[in-house]
Amino acid sequence: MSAGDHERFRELAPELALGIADGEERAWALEHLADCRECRVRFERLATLADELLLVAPTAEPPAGFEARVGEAIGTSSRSPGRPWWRRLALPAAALAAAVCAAGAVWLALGDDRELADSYRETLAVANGEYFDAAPVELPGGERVGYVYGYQGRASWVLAVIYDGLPDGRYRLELVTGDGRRMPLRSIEVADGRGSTGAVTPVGYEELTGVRVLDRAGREVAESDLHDPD
Amino acid sequence: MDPPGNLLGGGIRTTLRVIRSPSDEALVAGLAAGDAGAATAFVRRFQSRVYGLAVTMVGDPAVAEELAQEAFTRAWRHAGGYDARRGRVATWLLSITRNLAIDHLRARRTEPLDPDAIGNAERALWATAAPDPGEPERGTAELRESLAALPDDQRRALLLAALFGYTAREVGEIEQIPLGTAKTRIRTASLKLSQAEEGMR
Repeated sequence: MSAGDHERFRELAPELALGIADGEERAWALEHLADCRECRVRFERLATLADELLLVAPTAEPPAGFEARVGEAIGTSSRSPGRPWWRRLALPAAALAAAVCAAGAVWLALGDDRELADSYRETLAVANGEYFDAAPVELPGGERVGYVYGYQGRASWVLAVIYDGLPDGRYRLELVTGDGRRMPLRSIEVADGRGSTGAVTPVGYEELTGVRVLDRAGREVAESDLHDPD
Repeated sequence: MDPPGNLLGGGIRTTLRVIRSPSDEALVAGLAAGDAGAATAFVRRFQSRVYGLAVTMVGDPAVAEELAQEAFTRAWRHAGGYDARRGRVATWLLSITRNLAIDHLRARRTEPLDPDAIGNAERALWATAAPDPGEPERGTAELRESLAALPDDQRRALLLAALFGYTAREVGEIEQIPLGTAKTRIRTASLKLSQAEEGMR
């Protein structure tokens, strides 16, 4: 790590803290942060400031009935994190098999539900994991263009596969956590409508709530909600 | 002899009751536990902040209400993941709101932003940002003073980034300045505010 790295980080830090650094800059800066305590302290101050700035926004009373509508939404929504692992067995068998293959761990033979569950448990035991998951990647209109496969374990990972519906080109993937943090994942190159990429995630899979697919301008073109009710 | 519990004597029984509203963190804990009362109190405490930020950012009251509702729903879903070491409840909740609003704005950003929208939002910041009496502010007044002390061009650049999620390149386009100048304004404003905050501690 050179003095130039620190200087580069210092220049990027405000944009990183405000959440407006572009994907490549952000990826480099996060990597630097992981190894540099001094820059981490500096960044934490700026990140706190960025959050505090939201407090100076004006307050305004929402329309009448807002509180009741929120209560209704909460009452009818399902709390998705922490779903028991056996509910996740409702994954499409093909999707589950693809996820396991991608991990290079085991081949999970298709069979009846009991065999599947047994194999699933064995797979998790071998890989020291807790569960696999899969969720569709959808355009804003709801059209399905691929899947995100996830693994919760001592090292959590995700694999994103696009199979149709996105124009060819390079896209950035961004992980979203339940408390609103966003972290860049690798880019994905879509050619002839297909592309895939995967990586170990910097936080546990259970902390993630979504994966966003962004175009070069940073606009969201598709999204995967990892905690859609089964 | 005075009855037990009469600490003041004089034959008059006095009961001291301290009525305290639950802390923000306690409300989030209640939210995580699925407590309906905590959920109601949580929404009541923060709704003007959340809706205020949303309507400041997107301008449209109907859209702002949808975003505010979604922000509370997400907070409820993920209350168990809230970590007080990472920040205050208000900033956590407002960060969720901001991200939702930015997603909405970015999806619509095919046309350049109306310069009046920024000006209106900036004026609103100074006109109506009254502290919520239910939650004592910690340093917000000082932060507002520091913001007000910034040169206009730096303050605008910072607010465009912090509240509207514009990248440095977009700030440059809106302000019609080179990218490097936009980055410098954002960086300088951030560092000045950060130093001012440090000085207050």
